[in-house]
Amino acid sequence: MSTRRARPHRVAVVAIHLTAVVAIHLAAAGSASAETDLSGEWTPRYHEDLPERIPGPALGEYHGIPLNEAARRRAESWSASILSVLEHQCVPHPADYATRGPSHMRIWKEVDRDTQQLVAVRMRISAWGTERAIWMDGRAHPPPYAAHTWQGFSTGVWNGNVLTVTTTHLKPGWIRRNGVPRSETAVLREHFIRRGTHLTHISVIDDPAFLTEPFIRSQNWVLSPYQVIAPYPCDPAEENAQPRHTVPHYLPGQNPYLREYAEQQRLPLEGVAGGARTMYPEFVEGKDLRRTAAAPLAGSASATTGRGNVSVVHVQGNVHMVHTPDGNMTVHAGEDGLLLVDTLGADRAAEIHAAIAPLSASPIRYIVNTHAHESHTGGNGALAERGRTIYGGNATNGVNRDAMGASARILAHENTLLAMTSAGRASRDLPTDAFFSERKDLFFNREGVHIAHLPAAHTSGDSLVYFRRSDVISTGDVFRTHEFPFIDADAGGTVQGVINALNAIIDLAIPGPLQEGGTMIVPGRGRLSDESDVVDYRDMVVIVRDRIRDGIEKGLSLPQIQAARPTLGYDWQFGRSRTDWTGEHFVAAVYRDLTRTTR
Amino acid sequence: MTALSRGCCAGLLAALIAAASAHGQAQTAAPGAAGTPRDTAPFDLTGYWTAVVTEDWRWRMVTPRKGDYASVPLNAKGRALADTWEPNRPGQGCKVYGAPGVMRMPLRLRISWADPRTLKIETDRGRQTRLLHFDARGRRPEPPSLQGHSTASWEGNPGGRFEFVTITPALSHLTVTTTGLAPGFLRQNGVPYSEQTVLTEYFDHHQDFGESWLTVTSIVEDPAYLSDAFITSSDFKRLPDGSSWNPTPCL
Repeated sequence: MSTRRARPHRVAVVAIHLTAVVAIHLAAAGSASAETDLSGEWTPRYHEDLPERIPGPALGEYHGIPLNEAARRRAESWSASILSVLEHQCVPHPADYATRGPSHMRIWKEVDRDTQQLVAVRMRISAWGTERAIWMDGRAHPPPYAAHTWQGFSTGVWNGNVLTVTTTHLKPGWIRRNGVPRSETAVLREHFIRRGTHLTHISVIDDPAFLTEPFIRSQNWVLSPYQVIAPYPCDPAEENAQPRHTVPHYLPGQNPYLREYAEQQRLPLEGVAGGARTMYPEFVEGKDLRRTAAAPLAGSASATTGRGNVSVVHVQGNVHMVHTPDGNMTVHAGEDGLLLVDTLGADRAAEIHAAIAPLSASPIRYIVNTHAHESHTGGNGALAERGRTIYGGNATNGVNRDAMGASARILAHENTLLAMTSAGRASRDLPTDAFFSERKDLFFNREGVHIAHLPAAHTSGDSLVYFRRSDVISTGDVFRTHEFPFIDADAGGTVQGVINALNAIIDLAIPGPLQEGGTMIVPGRGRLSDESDVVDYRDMVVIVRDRIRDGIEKGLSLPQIQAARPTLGYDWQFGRSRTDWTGEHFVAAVYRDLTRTTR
Repeated sequence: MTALSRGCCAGLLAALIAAASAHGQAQTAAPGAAGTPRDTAPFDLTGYWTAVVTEDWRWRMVTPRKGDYASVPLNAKGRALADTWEPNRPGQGCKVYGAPGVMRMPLRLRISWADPRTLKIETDRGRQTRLLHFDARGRRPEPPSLQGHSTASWEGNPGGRFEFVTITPALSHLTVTTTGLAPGFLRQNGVPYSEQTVLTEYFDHHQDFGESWLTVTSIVEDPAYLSDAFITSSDFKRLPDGSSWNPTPCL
């Protein structure tokens, strides 16, 4: 009886199973478009631009690139000696250049085991052994404040049998490896087209920071099943006797090598200098080229988070970055509670608390201020009052422990306390614990927390906070990814102090392979970073400082130096912030600082 | 199993399998099979295009020095011939405008349909005309010429039925094969190709950052002067009109 009853059930189960199978296959058939399998070992054909791609381009070889004035200044300042600097030695070719250099390539598919749907197309390039994923599963690109990488974040779609890829979140890189820069705001569009044993790759870069119009290149590979891609280990090593933290570069007009290539190859200097006009037939016809403005990519404009936006990003370990349009703070969360680095403005305190409270079952225990400015300490009182301090020992005998512990402790260097006191800040905002030594250590959430004073940097009271086990540094405003350094001379800030602070961060950070990841950096403003981003920033500060100092040594006045535009090449990246601090302000601050110290 | 449940399951399965079969059959029909090549074109190539010379600049925008054949897989015979080139020798000015070289030159293209089965590519610089024949039937023997004889077809993923999955055919590019070429130059400084050359080209159209682009990948195979297939890809950008069209004969 039981068997007779079970049979219809089994048949029904089989029917349901078959139905599901057919339905899945129908779904699969419905979603299957004309996709091509790009998988395989591909050997490049260097039948175009061989001297540029394999030995490497010459200094001053910019022909065929629609570079703008800023890019030209950056390129002409570039010294190949920068490649011997420790922090630059293992920087790999970014995604947009990897296919141009030595580029033996392996492509393979990553499919979901259960659905057999394509998740990603992955590829490895021989030079530096870089690997990248092209996500095919429809995932969205990260928010603008997410960390950027050398390979960026890529998504792909099939257009017929053409794989079209869009990449954002690239670290600052280069168009050509002789110093022609590519900014982190660039968008890379690629098309991979396989025809049997032949693969064509078309890349178009849109970079309004450094290019006057989109820049197209195309490369070719042939299938080579027996190709072997060798490992490409890279360990930085001292290669010469140059002092630590040297930033080799040429001052404007002082690069002696810019004409060499044109002279050796007997090419017109006007053409070698590049620019969009060198790309078109009009150049050989001797006509002026009608400039075509680069059209913005729909949806690629940097998404600005409106006022009121508070985003919490897990960095690594116990550490989270709280990103707002006005600045960042860092949250260290665990079973002991929350440690905050900075508190941003008072008007955001409730919003911030609502966003970070779920990170721990325990309340806020500590607030560390990296400096005195209200933009980073305005929420001190409001957030501290939402926390608690743990007291113990004889100090609390006979007192009301609840009342005494009804607020989190606020730590800062004593210069920060003095600055806040002098500014007449409310007592609830003032640090409760000031330190005057070079460092202060805590142990919290089973992790060593190292607070280091950065003397005379953007103020006299700057500190960085290093979470040792999580391997994250919170820098405060000595490092801001999209703004020139704010040197608050009235508060004891100096340009050399900023450079020293940036070098201290670089010394403390240990990058992951290929100068990426490893110690992560939370800037005072801007996007999540790593050591290479700080290096890029440090290089900029040193180069601009040196240009200004050169002008001072030539007897130029501040207006004359400003007219020479010492920040040219960096204004797009650092001079477009929503604050009032422009490149001109930065130049003026450095000028005043240098003339004060050289008098 | 009751008659009702048996009938229900069998009917359900039959319906699903029939649906699957119909779904597959609906996708196997070749797109535009009945139309002419002009009708079935997956993209519109007609109009004006300008070369965008971002690569090989020093060999394309100026006449390179004698002996500068870097990147080209010339064999010994090819190098020897290239080394005999002299810049001002009469009668060689058009040799780089043959089909294997012309698409690398800094020039504009005007593309149109000569008839529904023949695509015409004209160049302003060098004033050349290439005819891409989609119908090779009835071809008569012709003497070798600068542009040779080109046969063309729209190609792409052919599609097909696989286990439970049907892939939709999709035309994605233009393939052109050219033979019957007179000897000419791959570069302005006399880098040679012979009349044995077979030129295969792929025309890909793409839209990026508000611009319409054409990328022509060419594979030059020449057993006489090349040790390997010579592969390059040349990029063009669509022009809004013919106002910059500047016909200039080769000399």
